[in-house]
Amino acid sequence: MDLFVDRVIDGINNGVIYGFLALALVCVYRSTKHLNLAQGEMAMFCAFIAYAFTKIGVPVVLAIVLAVAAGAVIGGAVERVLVRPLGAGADYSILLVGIGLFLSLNALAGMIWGGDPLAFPNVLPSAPDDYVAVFGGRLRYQQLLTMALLAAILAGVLALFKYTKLGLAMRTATSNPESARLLGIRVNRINSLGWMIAAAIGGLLGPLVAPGTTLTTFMMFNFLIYASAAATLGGFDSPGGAVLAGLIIGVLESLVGGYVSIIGSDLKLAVALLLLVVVLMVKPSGLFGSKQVERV
Amino acid sequence: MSLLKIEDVYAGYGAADVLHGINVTVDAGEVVVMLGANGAGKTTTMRAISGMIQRRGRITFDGHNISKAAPDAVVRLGLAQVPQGRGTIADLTVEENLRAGAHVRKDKKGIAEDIDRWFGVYPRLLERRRQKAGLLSGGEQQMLAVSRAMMSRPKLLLCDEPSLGLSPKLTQELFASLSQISKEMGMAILLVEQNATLALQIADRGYLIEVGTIAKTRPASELAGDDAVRAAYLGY
Repeated sequence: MDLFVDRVIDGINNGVIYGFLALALVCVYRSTKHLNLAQGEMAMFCAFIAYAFTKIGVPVVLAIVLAVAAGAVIGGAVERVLVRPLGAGADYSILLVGIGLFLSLNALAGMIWGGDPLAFPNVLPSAPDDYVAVFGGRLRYQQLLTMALLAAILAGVLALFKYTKLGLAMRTATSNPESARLLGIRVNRINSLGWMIAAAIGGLLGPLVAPGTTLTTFMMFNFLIYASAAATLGGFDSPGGAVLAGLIIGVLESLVGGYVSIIGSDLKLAVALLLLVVVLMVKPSGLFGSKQVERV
Repeated sequence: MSLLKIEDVYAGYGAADVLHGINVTVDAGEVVVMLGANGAGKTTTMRAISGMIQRRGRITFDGHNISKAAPDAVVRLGLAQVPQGRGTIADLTVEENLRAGAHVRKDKKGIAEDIDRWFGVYPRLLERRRQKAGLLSGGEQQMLAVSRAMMSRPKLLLCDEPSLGLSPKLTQELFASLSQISKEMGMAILLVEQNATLALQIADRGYLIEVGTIAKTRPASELAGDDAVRAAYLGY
């Protein structure tokens, strides 16, 4: 029983990370209809930026806030300089831009901060007995904080879409960009905002997971694959769906990896990829994504 | 002075121009129809006015030079467009579509009043206010397209083939309602329409477009009686 609880908690902890990054992917997808392959690397880069700030004596919380701001700037700049000039409908080009950005950020971080894993401080106390006991399992403070922040961001994003004029304009631009422009909505700015929000979310995630993964240039790589699977499962245009799917995948892979001996920890990633394939075959719009409805 | 004045405008898609120095004027409160064969440049003219495509030449609207203006700036000056194909925002509810139409306005009370007003004009939309707009019938989407464009309280409404996909009866109703809106609000309409008979009935004046230039402009009643127009567009 204890082992089961541990595995579920493990899965939830990982799932929160997948959901976090999936939420960022959804924000980009809702603005420019693309999968940003460099989303994880942008988060990684922000974690290094936070690290650089802590090295010059900035308190860790403030360093993370600065990393989030840096994320927003990077996201906005990428949209403006690399994505927008390619124009609408440049699907493959933008996928390639994502790969290029992925490699560049990775190499740049390696050049600046070196290839060795670096330690990044926790925000909350992390001594061995700093945890909350749940059914005999241990939820560490940092993990609880990550969960709480994910819940808060998700609530914020949903409220933005549902209750504000800006959110309505964002949904209009997603649903019908042409019409949105004719109604006076500055679609370019809305798209830029989507990229900024996404990168800022990544900028928060990076420094939060860095203490656990250690700070390396490849720290986000696996997470991006899981997050893509989560966004696919939940629906690429559904923030809530993506987060929930992240949790589902996290728990599922932890349990399958734990109890199915031939899978173990080596093939856990395959579980996520298999799920991805199945979802694409059975329900391409995801569990909560909106099907394209149009009556002519 | 004209509300809208297009002088010697060239525009098109990519390398090839569709419009070759077109001239059109619309006065305040006037209903003007553009007739022309497929590919003559009617929709392109609309898109050039609203700034959806690059154009050269001079376009003035309500005293402002909008020759280089982006669509959002044009809308803010009081020029709304019902695009070809209705421009339904499919994932938004009917009511949200109307709210989106009022994007350039700040007066919350006025927006709420206008939403009620258009629900009054088109009760079908009221019945379906919480439905996704993509699920509306063609006629309902067209009503929504007109109402949505009207939510910005335009001085000039560009209306591109509103009858497309509508039954003759619905088309007639829609035109009657457009004509009434124009009279009540003193709003000018520039209309592109295949159904020339109906369009000329509500129009004050008409333009004949032939391959990117204006062939004729005359009062609607004269155009309706013109032999060439009758042969080409009225079909009798």
